[in-house]
Amino acid sequence: METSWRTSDGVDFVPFGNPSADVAWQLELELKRDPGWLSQRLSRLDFPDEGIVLIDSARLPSRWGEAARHAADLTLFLGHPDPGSLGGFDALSRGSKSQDNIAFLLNDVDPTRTLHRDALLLARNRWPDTCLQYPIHRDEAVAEALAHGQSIFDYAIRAQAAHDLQGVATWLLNRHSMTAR
Amino acid sequence: MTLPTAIRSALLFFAAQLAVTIPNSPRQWLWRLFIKPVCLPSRPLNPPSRLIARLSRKLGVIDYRDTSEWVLRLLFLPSHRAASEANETELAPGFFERLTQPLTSFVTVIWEHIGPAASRLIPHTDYPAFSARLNRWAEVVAIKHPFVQWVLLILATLLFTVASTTPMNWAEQLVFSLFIWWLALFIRRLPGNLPTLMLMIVSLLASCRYIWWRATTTLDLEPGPSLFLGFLLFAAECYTWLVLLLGYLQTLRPLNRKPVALPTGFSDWPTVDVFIPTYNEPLKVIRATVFAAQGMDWPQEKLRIFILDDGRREQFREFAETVGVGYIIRPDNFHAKAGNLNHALTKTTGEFVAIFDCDHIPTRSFLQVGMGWFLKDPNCAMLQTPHHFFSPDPFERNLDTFKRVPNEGELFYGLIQDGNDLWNATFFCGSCAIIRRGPLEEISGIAIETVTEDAHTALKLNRRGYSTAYLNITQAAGLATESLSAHIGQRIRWARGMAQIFRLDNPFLGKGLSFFQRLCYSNSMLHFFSGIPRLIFLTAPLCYLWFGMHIINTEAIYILIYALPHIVLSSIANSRNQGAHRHSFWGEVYESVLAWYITLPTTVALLNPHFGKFNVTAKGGLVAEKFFDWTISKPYILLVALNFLGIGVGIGRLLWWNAYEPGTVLLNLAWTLFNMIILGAAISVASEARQVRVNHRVAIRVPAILQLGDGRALHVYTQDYSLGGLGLALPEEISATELAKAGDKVWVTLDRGDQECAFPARVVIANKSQLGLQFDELSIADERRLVQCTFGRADAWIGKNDGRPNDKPLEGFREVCSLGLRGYLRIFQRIRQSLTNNLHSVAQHIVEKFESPASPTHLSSKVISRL
Repeated sequence: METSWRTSDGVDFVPFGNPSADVAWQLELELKRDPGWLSQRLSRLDFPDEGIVLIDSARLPSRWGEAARHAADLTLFLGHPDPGSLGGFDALSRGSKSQDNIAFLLNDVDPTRTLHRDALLLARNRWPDTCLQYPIHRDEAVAEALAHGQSIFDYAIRAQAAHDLQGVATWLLNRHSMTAR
Repeated sequence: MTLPTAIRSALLFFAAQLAVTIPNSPRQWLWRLFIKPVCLPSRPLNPPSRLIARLSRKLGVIDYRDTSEWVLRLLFLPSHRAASEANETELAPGFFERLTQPLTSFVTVIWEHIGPAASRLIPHTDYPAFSARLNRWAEVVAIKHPFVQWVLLILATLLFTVASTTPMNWAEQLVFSLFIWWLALFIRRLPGNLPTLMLMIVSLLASCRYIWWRATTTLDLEPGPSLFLGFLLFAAECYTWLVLLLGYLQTLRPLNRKPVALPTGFSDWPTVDVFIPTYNEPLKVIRATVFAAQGMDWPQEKLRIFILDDGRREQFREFAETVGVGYIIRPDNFHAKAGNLNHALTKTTGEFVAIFDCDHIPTRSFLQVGMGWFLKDPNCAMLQTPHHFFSPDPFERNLDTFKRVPNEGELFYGLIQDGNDLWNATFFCGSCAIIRRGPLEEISGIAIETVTEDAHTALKLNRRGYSTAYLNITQAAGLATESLSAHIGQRIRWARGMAQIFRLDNPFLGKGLSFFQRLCYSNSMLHFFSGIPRLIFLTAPLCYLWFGMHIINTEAIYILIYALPHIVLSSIANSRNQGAHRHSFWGEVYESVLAWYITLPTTVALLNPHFGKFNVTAKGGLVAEKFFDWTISKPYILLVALNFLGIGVGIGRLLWWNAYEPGTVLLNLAWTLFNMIILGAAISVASEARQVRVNHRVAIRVPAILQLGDGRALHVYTQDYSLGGLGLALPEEISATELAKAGDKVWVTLDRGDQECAFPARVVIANKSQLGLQFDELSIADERRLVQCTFGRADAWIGKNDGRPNDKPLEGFREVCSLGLRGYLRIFQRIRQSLTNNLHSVAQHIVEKFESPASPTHLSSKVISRL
């Protein structure tokens, strides 16, 4: 059975899979017993030095999420431009010992909405170093790309969301090369 | 062979070539010259030399043996297509370029042949390295051996005096001129400020030689009118010589001041009152200024904005209340703007006052960029920033030179103010400036004695020992004057005001100024007295052509070899010094247009400085229809007529009456021709082009988000913006027509630093890769955000001169020539048009009188067509 796919850009994609409830429960117990399980597993991979692992984790609070955070050099928290997410960012920011390994990203921002504009402005001003300067804007093209079975970069390279994602990717690469040094 | 015989035989030669059988018949000449068809040669031609082959190809001469064709092409005669376009009312763009193309190609080809040879005469070296070496020497001498520096200076002065006063015969002068010309061409290639200074010295040498020679050898005139006019001309020349000299001194080393950073803590930042005086401008104009002022980055509790309304309009009061700014009025309008500002000073308390004309929209960074100097230098009382106009002024609009040729004001804001700044003599220009309240109150507020209260205020501050500063970073922009008459009206006010200051508070007299401050102020005032000298230059050759008067007592060849180096070298030096802000020969055009109009006001103001009252510059209007401003151009048309007749008489003198002195006649004819070109250019400014847009568009490329009705969002760039709409440039692969159609509702998002601002708009034009949007009715808050995202951006005016061609003296001359030609064509067109219109109305009148009820339309059309 295939467990991963490789894209033409040389990116290996490993899906989470579709575990049964029992398996998932087992895994969660395992993660509770050993929070470093995921890190150990990752370190066992035969992996090039300059390689990067991106984990799309479950939302916090959850064992999966904590495990991913435990393994990560940098955790990128996604939030909506609303009071709830900003409150979450605030708690995370205060709860973290170091601000160096966390970053906030606002998703689905619709600049025509006053609330979204204000939330973006607030986030940028309150966490100027932690909050990414690139929000991901609301863009129908993301859903359309999915429906077409294409990446957004193939489907609509000029879409605002594609531009934003490119910005985030560049930011991440810069950040990575800086910490690697 | 005498000259007339030579000309006669040349004419006969051309007549034979053109197949003109009766040389006395002008009709036949015209026929052969302009209508004779060009015959294609039956066999391929092999021109005798490569030069002729290239020339004929460039000029479009098909048969190189056909003289008429050469004549045709060289006399700038357009091809048939271009000629037919010229007859239409609308002149196609590029028409004049095509018209002057033959001459340009001719000069280019000739230059390509002799250019390399000529350029070999100028020493080749590593110019930047050479310049750096020169700089090092100068520094070493200045720092380590101040004594040597003084000795050198004295020696140089002596040498300069000897070189400019030694009498020479024509051959010696010619060799000397060629030598300094060659020197100038070499120095011109060296980069840096020191070579610019050297160029100025070389130019001054030629000019001093000229003026000394004029004073010592050419003024021995016949008593009577010749003597009077001769001295008048000499006085005018002395004036230009003095202005040239003072101009060099004024721009010796532009200071190019940089902004100073403010302290990090807001507590040290001072309080600022922003004054926006208005009198009769529409509310639409002032809104943007107020909104932009509200967006300036400054602690909100330390920034207060006031509209000073001398029109006392209820609508303005309501607006001020709605948007939350102060509104100040006074019971009277004494002393116009100055009085208005002074009244506001009594009602406010801020430590600093920032002043904006109601149409000058500041950027958000204005205060942060400008205020640093006040904190660094407690003696600094005023800081001025440039006035930039995002709409074309009448010159730029009517001559179609917007963003191609620097406008009239740019020399002042780009170079002269920076030059003044070195000598601590920066003027206040009435707007886009910050003044410290204390010193301003010390001189009893803004000066009220003259109509240019701004310059006078700065003078008073400088006299008190305060310093004034200029920061050459555009931090605000506004509308240029709309029509030529308004533009001239504004210049008249400046000229009058400067003349008033000259009389009432002459910078050369009184206490408190350094020598160079006096020079800088005086030169700026002298500049406005250029009217009379300019008129003298425009008419001087007529003294000879019309009346045979010799107002310069020498031979033509001497005038040439003395005057030409003076003109050519000052052109080279000025092109180097100010080329980025004023293209060569454009000064003559700007000056000539104003000459007639500022002559009387400056003279009256000199005689009686209290005569007359303040007039406001009208802005924000629109020239609805294109028209020719006959009233404005009347004096120039008169001058043209005089010059034109002068040329006619001159030809008579050349051939018959003064055939014994052809040099003198030719020199005067050439001078008159040059004057005609300048006058033609001045006239062509008076042909007002129509303005189509109510809101002026400003080109800018910034990222934007375009949200379509179906939820898609595109990353695009803006092309231009105005307060009414936005032009978007789409990526190449996206077709605007597929994306949206006219009438579609979209949202467009611009950013302002951290903030994103979205505006509702409708598509008006969807065309290839361009999308034109018009904003929907915006709320006050949205309108404020729009201004702050566009005109108020800190980077709004940074690349304002990008892409503008550099100055080349010859190119400037060609352009001015082409403008001159255009002026005459425009007059001709307008005369023909009005003649046709008159004929039509006469015909209509006749038709209406004899109209038969049976077939009125048939008859009238018949009569009209016959007429």
